[in-house]
Amino acid sequence: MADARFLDPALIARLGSMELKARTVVEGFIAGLHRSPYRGFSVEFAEYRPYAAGDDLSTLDWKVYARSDRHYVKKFEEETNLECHLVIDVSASMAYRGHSTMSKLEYGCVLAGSLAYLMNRQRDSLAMLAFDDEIRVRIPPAARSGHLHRVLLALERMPSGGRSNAARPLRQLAEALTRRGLVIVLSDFLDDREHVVRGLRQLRSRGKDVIAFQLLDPDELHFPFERAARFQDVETGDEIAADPSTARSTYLEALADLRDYYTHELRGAGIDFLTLDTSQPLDRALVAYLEARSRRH
Amino acid sequence: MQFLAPLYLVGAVLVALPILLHLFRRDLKPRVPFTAVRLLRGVRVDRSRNRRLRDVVLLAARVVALLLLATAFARPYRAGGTSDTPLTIVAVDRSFSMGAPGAFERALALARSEIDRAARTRVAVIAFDDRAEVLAGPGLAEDARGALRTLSAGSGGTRYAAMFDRAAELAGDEAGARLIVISDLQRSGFGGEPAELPKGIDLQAREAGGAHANVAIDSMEVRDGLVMVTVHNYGAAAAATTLRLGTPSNQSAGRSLKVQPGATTAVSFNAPAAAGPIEASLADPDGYPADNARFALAGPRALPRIVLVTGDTDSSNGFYLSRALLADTDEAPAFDVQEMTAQQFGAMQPEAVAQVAAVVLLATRGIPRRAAEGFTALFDAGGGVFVAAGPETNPAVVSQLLDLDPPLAADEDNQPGALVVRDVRHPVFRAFDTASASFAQVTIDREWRLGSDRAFTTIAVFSSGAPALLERSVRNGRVLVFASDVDRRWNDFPLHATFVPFAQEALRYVAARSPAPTAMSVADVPADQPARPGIISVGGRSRAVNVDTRESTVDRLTPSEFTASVARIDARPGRASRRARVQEAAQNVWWYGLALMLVMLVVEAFVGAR
Repeated sequence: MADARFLDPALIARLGSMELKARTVVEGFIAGLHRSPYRGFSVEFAEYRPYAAGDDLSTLDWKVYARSDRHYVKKFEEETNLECHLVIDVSASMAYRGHSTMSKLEYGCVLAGSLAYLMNRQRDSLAMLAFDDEIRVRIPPAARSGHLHRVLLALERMPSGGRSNAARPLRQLAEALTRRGLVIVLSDFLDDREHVVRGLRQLRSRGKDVIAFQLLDPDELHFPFERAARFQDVETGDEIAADPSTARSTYLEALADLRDYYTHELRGAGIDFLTLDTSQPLDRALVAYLEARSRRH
Repeated sequence: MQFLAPLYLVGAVLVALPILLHLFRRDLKPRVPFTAVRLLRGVRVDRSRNRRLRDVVLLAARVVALLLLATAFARPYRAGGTSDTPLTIVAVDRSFSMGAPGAFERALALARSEIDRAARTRVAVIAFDDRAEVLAGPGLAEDARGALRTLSAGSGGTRYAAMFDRAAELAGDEAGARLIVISDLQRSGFGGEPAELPKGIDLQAREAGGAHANVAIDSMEVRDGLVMVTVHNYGAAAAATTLRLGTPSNQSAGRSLKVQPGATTAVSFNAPAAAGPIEASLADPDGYPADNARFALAGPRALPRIVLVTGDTDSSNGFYLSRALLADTDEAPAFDVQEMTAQQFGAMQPEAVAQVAAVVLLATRGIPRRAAEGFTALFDAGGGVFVAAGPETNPAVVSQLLDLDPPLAADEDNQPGALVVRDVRHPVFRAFDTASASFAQVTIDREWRLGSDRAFTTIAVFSSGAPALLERSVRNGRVLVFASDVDRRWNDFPLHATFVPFAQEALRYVAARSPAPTAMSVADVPADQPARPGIISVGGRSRAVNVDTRESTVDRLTPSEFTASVARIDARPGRASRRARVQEAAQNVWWYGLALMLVMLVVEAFVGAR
């Protein structure tokens, strides 16, 4: 997995195009799409512009006025101190790849890298965590320019793990977080659903904004198998013999029930829950993220 | 129940295969790795009682199918009766001589009488003429009587040997078997063939009577516009009869004739103008009806069709040769000659070329390469090619068209010389005899100097010693190569008296094919055609079918002479197995076994798909 994949110009161009659409509504609100209610004190000088009536006189640059006899005001670029955590499930089920070109883990890593790049552009503090039944990789939050490279490198080398148990690592993360911020969880959420909801609610209860992306392979979404088979769980090794022609409807009903449960329980707790098809383009996930954020604010 | 090939029963151990699979690998479904297996827990898993029942049904179907397969290959049969019940075989003659007035009715009455008398034994019935057929295998007298109901005199000749062989097969090594032959006991039925019967079989003959006089049409031949019919009187007294000729549906006016005893009279008719079947018939109420008619195919004799490939449209090639071939030999041309340009010949389909008797290649210019397919078809059909050298004939192209391997290697040479026949016994020169020396008067100005090639046989040479006329076989046909011109450009051969007979003999030799037979005996009629006199179609060709006139004789044996004529031999080893084969073939149980196996497979497929 190369950095270039995360920074695919075509992808960024399309994402930028989506941001440009947002900017036509509110010029200069690039950060507005990602508008943070936690504005910090540090600001960064960006450019001069001629003074206009109504401008705050405190922003007038007197030195420039002394040299040029013209009034210019300093234009500042907002800088937030949003702390954003990317949490990736690396359990064995995430390594599943049915008939699509990427496994769920690969898809999740590319999505996480794209989100990291987007957040780094906005100077957000970025942290990353990978888990299966415990935390496997942890990169503490930072907003330095070299930090993005570290995150991307970790994503590129992300190993797949064993059985998933989201409750424990999410609880550990919730206990470790002190600042308010954003947590994005990427997982298939095929774990015990009550444990998953409890873990995500703990994060939310710590004052975090939480977005949960459920990554599912098309085979998991549509169950396209045709011949009778013994379906073996990649994590537990359990087998169930089934004939897809009769099992398909039951399976799809169970999946819809699971997704309804997550939607109902998580949205009720103020957590965004989105299901992503790993055969669909990545930009749709990013747009979904931006739209979800824009709906929030 | 016994088996003809019991070793095949060893194959029944294959039933262990599905049983082992059933015991040790019940679930043959492939394993598919998946993630959301917990979502499948609501699916009804078919490890139910129904599933177990289905497995048992599947196992049973497979085991039964394999057992049936092994059993069918072992060729089961039910041995007829018990060995302590004697066997009586009644053999009824159904040759056409039994068609004499009252003969066959007497034979049937005798047969019924013998069956009634043997009602306490096992009885089998054989009908025979030149073939022997088991009408009823060893069994109940009632079945044997039933087999007689459909029996009638046929058109075949008598061959006792076939009947004795069949009876020996039925009797096998059974003690006390009895063979009763009911026939007119014609002497000709032995036909010079050794008639043998195992000593253990009691042979008895019953004379069914027969004709004492018989007038038969012995032969009919269509030749030179005439139909020649020969009539023979097999009786001891002179016979008067009326002979008619016509088509099978329309008889002409009759011609009366009187035939002396033991004599043959030939009668000629003008052949019908139209081609088609003709029938000669005579009236003979006291003799055998089957030999009172004879069939033949009339029609003009097809001349061998010769195609002369002359080259381009404006070419004058072939002038002398075509005239030589069309010259009258007796009163009509010997060939049907057709001149063609290279383009016309190239347009012929291979199937059309195959119908030609021979092709004469006088030029190769303009012949398309695809014509090679036509030559291949011609050779396959037994046709031939005559190649003449000349300014428009390229030996390399000839080799390519005729697919000659090795190809002809020839250089033109203008050394003057004459023709010398090397092999005067060759069919091309046989007719010339001593006159073959006349070829020395031919002046050759130019010729091909052909290299030595073992594939070719040299028939004539030039005075220089170089080959002049060569022959080789290609596929089923043959090729003759004349190494000089036949159009008076490289020699003066066409101006000599020897040219015409040479051309005709050479082409007759090249075009020679075996004439297709137009007639056959009743005994040779294919099994899918009715075995009676008339006209039938075999392989798209019409054939006249006639009776075998050896059967027309009235010379008969007494029962004691008949039994004395049969050589009694020791039982041959293998008789028992032959009998078993006969019984097995009559019962065909294996066929039912295979059919039942297919039913089992269908059941297996049906249950397995559920």
